[in-house]
Amino acid sequence: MAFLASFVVFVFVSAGLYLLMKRNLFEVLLGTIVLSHGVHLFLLSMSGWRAGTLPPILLHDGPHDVSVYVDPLPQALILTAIVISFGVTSFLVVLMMRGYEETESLEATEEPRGEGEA
Amino acid sequence: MLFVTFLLLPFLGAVLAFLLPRDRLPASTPWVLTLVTTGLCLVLLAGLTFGGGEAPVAVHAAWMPQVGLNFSIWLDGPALFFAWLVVGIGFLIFFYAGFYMDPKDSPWRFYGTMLFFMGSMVGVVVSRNAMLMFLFWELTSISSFILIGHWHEKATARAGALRALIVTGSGGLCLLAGLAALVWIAGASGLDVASCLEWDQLWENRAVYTGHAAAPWVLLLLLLGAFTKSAQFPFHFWLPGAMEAPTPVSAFLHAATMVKAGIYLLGRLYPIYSDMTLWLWLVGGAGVLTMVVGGFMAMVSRDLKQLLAHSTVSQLGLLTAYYGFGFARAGSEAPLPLDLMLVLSHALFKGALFMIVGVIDHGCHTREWTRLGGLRRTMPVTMALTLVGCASMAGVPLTFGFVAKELFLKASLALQTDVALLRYGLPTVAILASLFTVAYCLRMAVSPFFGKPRDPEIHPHEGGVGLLISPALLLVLCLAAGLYVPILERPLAAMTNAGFYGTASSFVVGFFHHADKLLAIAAFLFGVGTLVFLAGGWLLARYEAAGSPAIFRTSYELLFDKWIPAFAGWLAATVQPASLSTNVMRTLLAAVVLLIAAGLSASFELPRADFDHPPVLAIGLGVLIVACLLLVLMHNVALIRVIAMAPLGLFVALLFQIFKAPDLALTQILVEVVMLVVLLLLVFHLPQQMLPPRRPFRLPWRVLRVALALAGGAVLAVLSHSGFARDLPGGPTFAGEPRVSRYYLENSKQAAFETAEEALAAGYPADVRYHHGGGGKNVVNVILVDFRGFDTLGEVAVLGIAGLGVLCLFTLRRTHARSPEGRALALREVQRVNEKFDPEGKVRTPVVPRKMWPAPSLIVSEMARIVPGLMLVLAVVLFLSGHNSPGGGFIAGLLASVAFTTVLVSFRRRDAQPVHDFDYLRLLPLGLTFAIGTGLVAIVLGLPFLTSGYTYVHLPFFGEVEFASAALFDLGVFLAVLGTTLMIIERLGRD
Repeated sequence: MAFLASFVVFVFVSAGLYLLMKRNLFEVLLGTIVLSHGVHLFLLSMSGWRAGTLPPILLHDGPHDVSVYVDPLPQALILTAIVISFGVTSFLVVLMMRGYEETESLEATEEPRGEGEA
Repeated sequence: MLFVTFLLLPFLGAVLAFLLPRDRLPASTPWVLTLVTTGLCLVLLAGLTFGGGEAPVAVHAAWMPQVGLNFSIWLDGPALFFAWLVVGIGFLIFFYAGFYMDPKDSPWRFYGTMLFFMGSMVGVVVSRNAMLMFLFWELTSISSFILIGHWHEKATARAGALRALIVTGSGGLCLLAGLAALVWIAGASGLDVASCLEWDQLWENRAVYTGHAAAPWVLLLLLLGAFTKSAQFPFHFWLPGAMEAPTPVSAFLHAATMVKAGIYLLGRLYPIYSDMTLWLWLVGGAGVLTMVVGGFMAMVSRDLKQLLAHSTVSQLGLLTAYYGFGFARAGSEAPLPLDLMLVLSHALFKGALFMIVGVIDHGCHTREWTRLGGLRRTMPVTMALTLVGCASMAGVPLTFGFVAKELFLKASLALQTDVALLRYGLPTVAILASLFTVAYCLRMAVSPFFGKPRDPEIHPHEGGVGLLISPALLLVLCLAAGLYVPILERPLAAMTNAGFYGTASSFVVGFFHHADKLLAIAAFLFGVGTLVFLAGGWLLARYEAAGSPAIFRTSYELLFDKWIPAFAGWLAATVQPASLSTNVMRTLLAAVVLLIAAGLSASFELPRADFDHPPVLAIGLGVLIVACLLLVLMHNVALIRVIAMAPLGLFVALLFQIFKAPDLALTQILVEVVMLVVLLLLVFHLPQQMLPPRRPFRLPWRVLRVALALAGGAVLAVLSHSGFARDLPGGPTFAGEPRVSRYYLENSKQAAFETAEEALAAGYPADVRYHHGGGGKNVVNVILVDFRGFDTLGEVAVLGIAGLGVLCLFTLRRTHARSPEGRALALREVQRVNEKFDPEGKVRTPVVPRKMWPAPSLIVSEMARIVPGLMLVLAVVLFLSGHNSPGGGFIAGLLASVAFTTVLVSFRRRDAQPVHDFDYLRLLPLGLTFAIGTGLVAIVLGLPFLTSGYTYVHLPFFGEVEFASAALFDLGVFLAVLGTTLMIIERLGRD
C-alpha cells in the first residue's frame, strides 16, 4: 500500500507541476489544486502508516500502549493545510476573475515593461 | 529613577505629539509641548548633575546578557557633557523653530520627530553599554531621515533623506558588526560576555581587544560607523544633501548634535584603540582629508547653507583629526587635552550660524551670497551676530574658537610618531586646510553684508526677536568663553577626565600663552586665508567651468543611482522574467536539481511494489486517479476539467481513510464539495473559449516541462516512500525518548503517569504527571484545539485574511464602478487596453461579465428543502463529538458551509433572501474573538495563553459530553471557517 501511496504522490505532483508551468491561468489554478493534493498525501506519508496500525483515536482512557497508532501530528497539520489551501485557492479564483475583467485575458505573461512604466 | 525618567521624557513627548487630537488643538500646541518637555529635561538634568554624590549616576538592568546587551546607562563625564549639549542647544533651537517654521507645516510630525530625535541622541550619549548605544544610534539615523525629508513633496529632499539614511545606515551595520566582533573576542578570551560591552569594561580590558589578531578589522568596522555618522571623507557627501531639511533641523542635527555622535564614538574609542598605528592612519588621515575636501567645497558653494554644510564637514574633519593627533597619548603623562572643548566650540558657533542663515533666508528669500550684498544697513543685528560667529569659526583671538584652534594646532605639532609621512604630512595638510576655513569665514561674514546690493528684486528685512534670541545666546556664550576661558575649562576638564579618560590633564588653556610658533602659524593662516578669500570668485568660476566635478558625490551617484539599479534590473530580468511559467520552471529546475543532489549523498530505499492489500483496490484506485488526471490535463472543455477535479478530491479522501486519517477524509470530502462549487462558478463566469488555442508544438520546451514535472513528482514520491518506512511514534526506536507525537498520544486524554517515579522510569521528566492532558480521545482534534491551539489560531486567521482579500477584490471594483468618476476611469482604461491590444476592433468591447447564480433545477431545489437541515444537525453532532471521535470545529464549520451553500445554489435570492443577504463575514471577527477570548481567560487565571481545562456534563441523547474550554476555542474555529467560506461563495455567486 505504501507503493500505491508513493505512486499517487508521483502522479499528483507531476501533473500539478506540469499544469503549474502552463501559461494559461486557469490551468495554473487547477495545477495548484492538484499539487496540493499530492503534497498533502506526501505529508501524510510522514505519519508512518503500515499494516495493522490504528487511526489516532484512542481506544480507551488511561495509560496504554500507544505504539499501535499512527502519528497524529502530520494529520493535524494537513487538516489546517487543507482548509487554508481552500482559502488561498478561492482567493486565486477571484483574482483570476478580476484579472480577466481588467485584461480580457488569462495569460500569465506580462507585457514587457515600457521605459516609462519601469 | 530620575535618570530613566530623564531619558524617557522626550520619547513620551514624541508619543504625545502623535496621539493628541491634532484637529481640536491650536497649531502652536506641539511647539509648546516640545518646549515644556525639553525644559523639564533640563530641570531633571540639572538635578542629576548637581544632586548626586561623587560616583556617576548609573542604572543597570540585564536585557540580553548573552550577546552583551544590557540596559545600562550612566552619566560619566562625556555623557554629562553631551547630554547638556543636546538638551541645552535643543531647547534654544526648538524655541527658534517656533518663529521659523510655518505653524501650519505639519507641526505635529515635525516637533514629534524632533523630540524623538532628542531622546535618541540623549540615549546615544548616556548609554554605558555600547550595544545599547547602537540601538539609539540607529534611532537617530531614522529620525534624521524623517526630518531631512520633512518637505517630502520635493524630490531633492527625498533623495537627500534617502542618501543620508543609506550612508549612515550602512555605517551603522558596520558598527554593529564591529560590536559583535568585540563580543566574540571577549567570549573567546574568557571575559564575561554579559558586561563586556560596558564602556568602562572595554577600557579595562583594552589590552585583550588591541592585542587580538582581528583588532585592525574590528577597529575598521567601528570607525566606519563613526566616519559615516560624522560625514568623514569619503562618506562626507550625504551631509550637504541633508541640507534640504528645514533650517532648525540642520542647526540641531547636522551641525550641533547628531553628526557629533561619530565624534563621541571616537572619544569613547580613543582611550581604547589610540595606541594602534592604524588609529593614526585611519583617524588622522580621514580627518585631514575631510578638512581639505570640506574646506574646498565650502569655498565653491553659492548657497550660504551649503557653505555652512561643507564647513561643518571640514570642522568634523578637524575634530576627527584631533583624536588622530592624540595617537599613543591616551595613557601617557600628557593625554589629549580637552577634546570636548573643541566639540562645544563648534556646536556653539555652528548651531548659531545655521540659525542665522535661516534668518537671512527669512529676510531675503534667498541664501545665495552671489545675489546678496549690502545687508549691513537692513539687517544690522544679523550682521553683528554673523561676524561674531564667523570670527569664532575662523579662530580670531578673544573668541572661543581661538581657544579651540590653539588646542588643535598645539596637538598637531605635538604629534609623536616614527612615520615621517604622518609626522610632518598630517599637520601640514591640516594647517593648509585651515586656510580654507579663514577664507570661507570671510566669505560668510563679508559677502552678504558689505558692498552694494547685487539683486534689486531682493527686499531684505531684519528678523524678529524670536528668531535672533537663540543664536544670540549661543554666541554670547562663545564670546564669554573666549574672553575668560576658565569658566568653561574647569567643568570641561572634569568631564573630560572623569570616568576612564586616563590621568588628569595639566594642560592650561589661555590665549597668548604661546606667543611663539602658534601665533606665527595663526598669523600665516589669517594672512594667506584672506588671499584665498580674495581669489574665491576665480576659484568658483573655475570650478563651475569644470562642470562641478564633485568626484566623491559622483561615486555615490554611480553606485546607487546607476550600478546598483542596473545590476538589480539585470538580475530581476534574468532570474525573474515577466512570465509566470518561466519563473515556475526555473524555480522548479533549481529545486529538483538541489533535491536530487542532496538525495545522491543520502541513502534512500526506492519504492517497490508491495501488495499487502487486495491488489484490485490498489490497482483500480491507481487507474482511476490517472484517468481523472488525464482529463484534467488534456481536455479541451473547462467544465469537464473542473468536474474531473471532484472525483480526484474524493479519491484523496479515500486514501486518507486508508491511511488511518478519518478526520482528514471528512475534511477533504467537505472541502471538495465547496471547492467544486467555487470552480463551477468560475467556469460560468468565464467565456467558454478561455483556453487558448493549442500552441505550435515546440519540442525542447515541452519535453523540458514534462521532464521537470516528472522529476519533481519522482523526488517527492521517493521521499514519501521513505516516510512510510519511518518508525511509529510509539515504536521501539523512540522508546524512552520523549518525542512530541508520542507525548501527544499519551497525554491527549490524560496524563500517562500518575506518579513521578512512573514517569522517570519510562524516561520522561518527573513533571509529566502535572500535565493533565487535553481530555479528548481524538488526538488530531486535541492537537488542533489544545496542544497546538496557537498554531490553529494563526491558521484560522490566515483563512480569514484570504477571505478578506477576496472581499477586497470585489469591493474595490464595486466602489470603483459605482461613482461616476470611477466609471469614467474604467471606461478610459478599457479604451486604453483596446487601443493597445486590438487597434482594429476585432474583439468585442470588454464588458464586465454578467454573473448570476445558475438557474436551479427542480429536483435539486426540492432536495434542498430537507438536506441542509439534516446537514446542520450532523454538523452540531460532529462539533460536539469531535473531541473524542472524528469531527471538530473545522469539519463542523465546513459541513455547515456546505449546508448553506446548498441553499445558496438551489434557491434564487427572492426565495431564500435571509441566506443570500446575511453578511457572513461578520462571523469571522466573532469566531476570532471566541478563540482569542478563550486564550485570554487562561491568562486572567494566571495560566499560559490558551491553556485549557475540562469537565464532563451529562446531556440527553449525547450521554457523557465533555465540556472543555477547548470547545469554546473550537467554536471560534467553527465560526471563522463558516463565515469565511460562505462569504467567499456568496460573493462569487452574487451579481
